[in-house]
Amino acid sequence: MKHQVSLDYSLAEGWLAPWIEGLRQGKAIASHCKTCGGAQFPPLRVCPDCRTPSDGWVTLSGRAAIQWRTTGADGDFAVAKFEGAHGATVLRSAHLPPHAAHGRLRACAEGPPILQLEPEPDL
Amino acid sequence: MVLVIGAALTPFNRRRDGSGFRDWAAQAFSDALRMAGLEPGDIDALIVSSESDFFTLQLNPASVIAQDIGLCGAETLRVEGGGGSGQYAVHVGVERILSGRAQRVAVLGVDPSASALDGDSIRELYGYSFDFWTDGLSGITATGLYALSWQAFAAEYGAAGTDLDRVATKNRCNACENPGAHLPRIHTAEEFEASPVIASPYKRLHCSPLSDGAAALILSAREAAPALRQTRAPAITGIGAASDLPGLGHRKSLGRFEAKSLAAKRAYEMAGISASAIDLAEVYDAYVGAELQAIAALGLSADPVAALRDGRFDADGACPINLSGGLIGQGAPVGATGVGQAATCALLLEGRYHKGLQPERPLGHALADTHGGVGTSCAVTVLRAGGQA
Ligand SMILES: [Zn+2]
Repeated sequence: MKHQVSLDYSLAEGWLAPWIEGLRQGKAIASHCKTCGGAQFPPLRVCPDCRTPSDGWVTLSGRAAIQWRTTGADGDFAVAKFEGAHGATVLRSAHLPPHAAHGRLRACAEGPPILQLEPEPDL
Repeated sequence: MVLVIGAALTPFNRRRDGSGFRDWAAQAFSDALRMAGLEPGDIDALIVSSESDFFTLQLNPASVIAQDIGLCGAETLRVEGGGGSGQYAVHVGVERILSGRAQRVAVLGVDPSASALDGDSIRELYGYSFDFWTDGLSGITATGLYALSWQAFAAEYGAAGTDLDRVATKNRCNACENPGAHLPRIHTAEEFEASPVIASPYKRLHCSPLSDGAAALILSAREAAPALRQTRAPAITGIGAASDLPGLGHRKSLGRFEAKSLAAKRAYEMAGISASAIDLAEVYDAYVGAELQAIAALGLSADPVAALRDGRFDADGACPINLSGGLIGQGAPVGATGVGQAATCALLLEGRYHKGLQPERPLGHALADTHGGVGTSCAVTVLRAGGQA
C-alpha cells in the first residue's frame, strides 16, 4: 500500500535568533562565556568547559581555517575553525576551491540559514 | 543478577514478502520467549526500541506491539536514543529488574529502515539525527560527518584507506556464515576501487545498508527464571552510558569517541572487570572506520590499526569483533541493532550461535556497543557466560 505524508513546519529560532540573523547577513555571531572568555561558534547555551551559561554575543571576523574536508555524492563539507572561536565546526564547503586553506562565512539572504563558506576576497 | 534467558533475531534484510514491522516484532518475541521457556503472561514489562515514528508511521509503537504479542496489562514503553536506541532499551530492561519493579522483561527492537521509505527520504531523516540548526540545515549526511571524524582518527592512529577495505572484508566475510545477514559478500580489490565515493574517504562499500528486521531479549531475575535457564543463561553484569556534544567541532577530539570510553568505563566498573577480560564484541560499525574508532574507545586495543592488520579481530582472532557481520555485514534496522548485538553476544556466550561463527574456545565475557549520532549517545553492555558464580 502507498501512503503519503506531507509536513509543513513552522520552526521557532528561539535563543539562536541572533546567530541565525548573522548567517543571513554573513556575520559570524558567537556565544560568549564570561568565565573563560571563550567564544563558541556555532553558539552553545552553556560553555562546555566551565558549564557557565553564555552571557551574550560577540562578532567574529568570519574567516575560518579548514581542518578537514569530505567530498563525494553526498556533497562537499568541511570542519573549519573560525578566527576567535574556541572550537571548530562542521559546515558546507561547496563554494570553496578544492584545496582552499581558508574561507569566509557566506551570507544566505535567501533560503534556509546554512553554515557555509565562500572563498576569501582577493587582497 | 539479570539473566538473558531468551534471545532472538529475525533476518536483517530488505523485506519483499509483504510482511511489516509488527510481523517481525512478533516473530522475534515469540522465538525469544520459546528459548526462555515462558508464556506471554510471565512477562511484566515490554521495552520497545524504535528510532523514529517517521519509519514506522506509528507513534507509541509499544502499545500496538504489546497488543500483537499478548502483553496487554504489562508495562509497555518505548526508548529512543538515536542509533543507540536498542542498547538503551536493554539498559532500561536491566534496570527494571535490578530495581525490583519487574521480574521478567521483554526488550524488543524493530525498524523498517529499508522497505518503508525510499533511500533519499531515509537519508534526509537521518540528517535530523544531528543538531538540526547547524549540521541538520547544512545538509550534511551521516556519511559526511563520519567521514570527517574518521579522517581525524586516521591521522592520529596511522590508518590507511586499505584499512577501511579490511574492516568491510572482515565483517562481510563473517556475514557469509550468518544466514540472517543482509550483505554476505566477498569483495575484491577491484570492487573497492570501483565503489563510488559517497563522502571521501568513504565509498559505498564502506557504509552499512538500511535494513528491515527485529530482535528480542527476555531478561529475568535469576530467581524468577525457569530452573534450566538459571544455570546456563548468560548474565548482563555491566551497563554504562554517556553522552558527548553533538557538534563534532565542539568536542575536544574530533576523531575519538570519548563518550564511548566513558560509557565503557562505567560498564566495566559495574561488571568488575577491565577491557582485557572481553573475549569478543559486537560494536557499532555504521561505517567501517567507526569500528576502529569504537575499538580504541572501548579499550579493546591500544593500537587498533595494527591489531586489525594482525588479524586480532578476525573470526579466529584473539578478540573477534562483529562475528555477526556487524551493521556492515549483518545489516542495520536501527531500533533492532542494539538489541540484536546484545542477543548475539548472549547466544555466543551460551554456545548457541551460528555454527560457522561460534568460537570453539570457552568464552567468559562479551561486549555490545551502540551509539546515536557520531559517538554522541553511547551505550555499552557487558555480558558474562552462565554457570559462573
Ligand atoms: Zn567557559
